[in-house]
Amino acid sequence: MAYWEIKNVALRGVTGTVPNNPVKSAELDIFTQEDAELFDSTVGILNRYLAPDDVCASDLCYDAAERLVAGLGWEKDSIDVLVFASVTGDYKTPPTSSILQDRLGLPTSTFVVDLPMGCCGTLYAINMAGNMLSAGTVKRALLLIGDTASRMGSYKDKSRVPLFGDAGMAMALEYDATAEKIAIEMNTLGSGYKALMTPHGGYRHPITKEDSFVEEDFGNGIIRAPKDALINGMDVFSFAITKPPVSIKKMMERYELTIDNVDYFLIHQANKLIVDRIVKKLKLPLEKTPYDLQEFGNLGGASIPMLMTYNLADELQSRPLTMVCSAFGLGLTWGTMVLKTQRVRVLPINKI
Amino acid sequence: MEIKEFIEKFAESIEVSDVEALTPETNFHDLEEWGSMAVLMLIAFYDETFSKELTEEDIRRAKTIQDLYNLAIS
Repeated sequence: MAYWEIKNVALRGVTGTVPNNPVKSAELDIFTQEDAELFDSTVGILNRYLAPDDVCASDLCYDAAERLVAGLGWEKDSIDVLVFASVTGDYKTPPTSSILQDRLGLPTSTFVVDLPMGCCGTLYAINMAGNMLSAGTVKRALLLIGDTASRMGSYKDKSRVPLFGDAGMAMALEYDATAEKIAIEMNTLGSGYKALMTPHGGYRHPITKEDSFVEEDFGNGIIRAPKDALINGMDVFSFAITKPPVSIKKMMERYELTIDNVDYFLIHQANKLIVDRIVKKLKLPLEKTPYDLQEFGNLGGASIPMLMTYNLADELQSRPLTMVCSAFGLGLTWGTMVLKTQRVRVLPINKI
Repeated sequence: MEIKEFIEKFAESIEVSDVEALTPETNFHDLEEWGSMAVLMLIAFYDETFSKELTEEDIRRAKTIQDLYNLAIS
């Protein structure tokens, strides 16, 4: 059973950057006005910020990171660990985190790692960097979590295009012997991997000009080629409404948490259908379950820190909070994190 | 759950107005109300009522309401 209690690690700050290109559902080429209205009322994603073709996740994360480091007054030389959690890195090789070490002016003594774990990106980043800081030999970690998921798929895929938005988030973790422990559990269902995948472009099926670009019409407005990322919406839905609630329940029981002694439930903002189901199943009060998907869409791993930045900025800065965070996504992987914060610096979202 | 009750709940979950027209032999793929949203509602119905995870393949293989019922009680 994979679960951790990470001692001596505090979340110090969080912020995020989105491309300055808001797109309403009705403005998407694949939608008629009627499609867009139905989509907005059922799936709940009214707006998303889409990166142009020359903007990478690392560019958005870079902006967020520079602002966060400056806002916290951290010396660049004091940063020991840099995590880049993304499935949309700059290149296939090298890892984008090494490029960001140089771009951000971090010391060559920095430990860097890329975590291509999709929607669970924040949980993975906090779990891995947190465990590295816990012993105290390294003191500061910068976690960059972001994607340009809109650029991964076919622009003619109605089952995918309207769901995603682009963003780059930055979180700062620091060794702190007085911090409350961070509890995380993670799970994996590899048998479901085909529900969220990009069939061509890896070494199982390298890109070839003969077949990787050949578009197929799957009906229902879904046209894509094997190089494009795909979603099997039904299987993802089935997975997302069943597995995460069990994990949330288990963690709440383990740590004697109730609806009353938790301040907020941060549920990965996949879409309204999924989040509503999880909320209903666990009978979570709506005032404790912030939503930002109406503004940003599904941000992949960046979803949870965006909820902190967009919905909880004032409270994170002014009082201690107990948050239960739930993420689920490709792999298939899912998990729950119990995070108790002291005052966290939250900088406003930037649009570039 | 008997099939009669199943049909009623099935109709309710995917919002079929004319429940009387449904029989165990009805091919649900042909229903006017059937579509991508109905699929999700059906998945949610199975999860809530039978604690079962329906997959895309289950739904594709099933033809009639009887087939769906068999999946629910299996």
